[in-house]
Amino acid sequence: MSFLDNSGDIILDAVLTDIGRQRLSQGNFKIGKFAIGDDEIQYNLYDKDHVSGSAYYDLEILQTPVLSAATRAGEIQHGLFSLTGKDILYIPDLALNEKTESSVLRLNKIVHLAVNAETQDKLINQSSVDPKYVLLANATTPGRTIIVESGLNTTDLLATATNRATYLQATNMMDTQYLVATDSRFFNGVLGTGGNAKFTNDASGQFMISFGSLNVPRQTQRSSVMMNYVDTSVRGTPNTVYYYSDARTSDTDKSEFTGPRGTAMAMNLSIANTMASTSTQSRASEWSKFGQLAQIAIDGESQLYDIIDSMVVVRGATTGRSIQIPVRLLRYVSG
Amino acid sequence: MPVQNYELLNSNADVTTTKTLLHEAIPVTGTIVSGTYGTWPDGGNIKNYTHGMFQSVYDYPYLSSSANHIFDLTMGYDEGSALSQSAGGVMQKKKVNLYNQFAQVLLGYTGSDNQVEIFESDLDYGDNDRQMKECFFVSFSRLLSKDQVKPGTFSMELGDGAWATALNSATLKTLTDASASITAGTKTTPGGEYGVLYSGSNADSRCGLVFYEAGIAVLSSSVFANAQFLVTGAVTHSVEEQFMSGTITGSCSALRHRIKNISYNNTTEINSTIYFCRVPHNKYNYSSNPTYTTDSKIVVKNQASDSPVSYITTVGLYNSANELLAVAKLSEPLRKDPTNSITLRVRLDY
Repeated sequence: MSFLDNSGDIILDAVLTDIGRQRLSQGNFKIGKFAIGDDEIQYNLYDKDHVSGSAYYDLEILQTPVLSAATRAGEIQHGLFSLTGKDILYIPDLALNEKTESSVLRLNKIVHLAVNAETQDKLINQSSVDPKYVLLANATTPGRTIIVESGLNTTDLLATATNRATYLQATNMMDTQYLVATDSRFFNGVLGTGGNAKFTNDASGQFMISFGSLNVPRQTQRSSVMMNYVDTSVRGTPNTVYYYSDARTSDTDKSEFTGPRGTAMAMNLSIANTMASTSTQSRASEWSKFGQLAQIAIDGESQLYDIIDSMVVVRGATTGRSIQIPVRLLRYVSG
Repeated sequence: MPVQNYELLNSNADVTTTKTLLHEAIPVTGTIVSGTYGTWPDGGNIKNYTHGMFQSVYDYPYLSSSANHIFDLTMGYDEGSALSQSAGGVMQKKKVNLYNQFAQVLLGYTGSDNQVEIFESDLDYGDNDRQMKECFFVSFSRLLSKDQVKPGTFSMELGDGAWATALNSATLKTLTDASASITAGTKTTPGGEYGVLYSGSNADSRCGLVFYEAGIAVLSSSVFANAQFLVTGAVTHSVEEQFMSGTITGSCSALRHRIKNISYNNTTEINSTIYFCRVPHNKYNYSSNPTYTTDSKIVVKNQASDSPVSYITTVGLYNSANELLAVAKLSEPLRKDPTNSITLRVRLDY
């Protein structure tokens, strides 16, 4: 992928994608809408304090060389979007919550996913991994789940109900749905937030956090995030953890955000039964094709595990904001 | 109002189709045909076949992966030709078959008794006037002629001198279809449109045809009047003698010896769909790019009342199932804010 010649007039370099060519060959190539992207732009180059004035604020951004179009990559990772208000100063972020008792924590910045109960048992009882770092795949009521919150990560605004209504609800930036992109070669999708989910606290500082029994994967659809990825839609539940001045415990004890919060969701990852085979059963070919076999996965421990490293991308369906969560699939082999 | 990441395209107002004809000048230098890559009649760029029915010419030794096929040569005569009745003819049946093959594909059959038409060096191929019963056929590869040869641009310089000085300038003949154009001077047949090749300015100089869509030139053998059409050792052959007693490959090689230049303009028909992606002033002013915020605060703003700013580098075209079917990239970022509306014109060529 090269840069486009930007020495003359603005030109458009257009190509059909792989899926476009596939649809053309099938006779159902019909373009009905468009979206706008800005993946190359580094907005932190916008210098709004430039001494020479506003004409120079975006000088560096406008000089950004743009990559030519590719046919295979997910071309618009983030994209531009529309909001009715012009006076919006804050846009919510997504964050992986690692503060609640229901949250699975990352070990060495990676979520460790045991593909079967045998692996979970070996990780905890033989490899001495704290249970808070281990997620058991396919379980609808795992001890811990991946929890993602949306909210404003700012100290400028207190996380009050008023600020939530003003800065998130009134500006239509509540992610009531999340799109979770997973690699379809390993995952069937995700199990998501169940009924009666709660993510809240009261004025005394008492937290009520539960996500119920997770829903089985809904129908997935092809994702634009990466090749081989599919999207699963997961419901978000209102994140009404508020700041209360007289609370015994701080609202940030259980929430990643310091500012107003929008929604939260919980999920587990669903994998195919063949991938979840135990050490006495035959190993699925994906392990050798895409991963490493019989490796020491935990430093200082002797147990051997098959490993596949993957990436899960969570996006707010309303705001388009996203986070990437590295996930390590582990299957116990021996030791 | 919810956040909109997609903007619908109105099939009437935002989509249009066009057709563009693209022309390229194709020059074929005669020396490539007759000796650059070997000594005539051989050459690394000349491919002969065991069946001996035609000869292929490449622009480089054909065993190389860099070689491109440029045209095929063959010859033939009608079964009504005097040559087909002559005794001692070589490959007579194949020569007749080749003539008939080209005639039936390019001209079709007479309506009355389904006889194959005969080539004529005029635009009225049904009147049995100016018939060309002995012909060379030059079939240009699709790589060169593309969708068609542009009418009025075909030119072929042939040498009609003695064998040793075949390309002597005094005896050069330049065959052109100068009377043809995109709008006139052509005739439509089952093989597509054709024009007449002239070697001079008067009507009597008509000596061949060029079929534009098929990319085939048909040359009457009568274009070569010199008695020394081919000399092998001490034996001299006129073109008629060579047609009758020579092999097809031998005749093709003799023709190659007499080609000085060929040139024409080809035509590529490009059908385009243009999508007008209209970005109104009140849309796409915010970004979900992770660098757009720091601590959830928009980095291009100091205060809420500042105008939002975003920069466009990519346009994605989607179907109703949100599948990305095509991507267009701008050569430089385009600033978008609430004070401007932008129309991005994305053209897809087929």
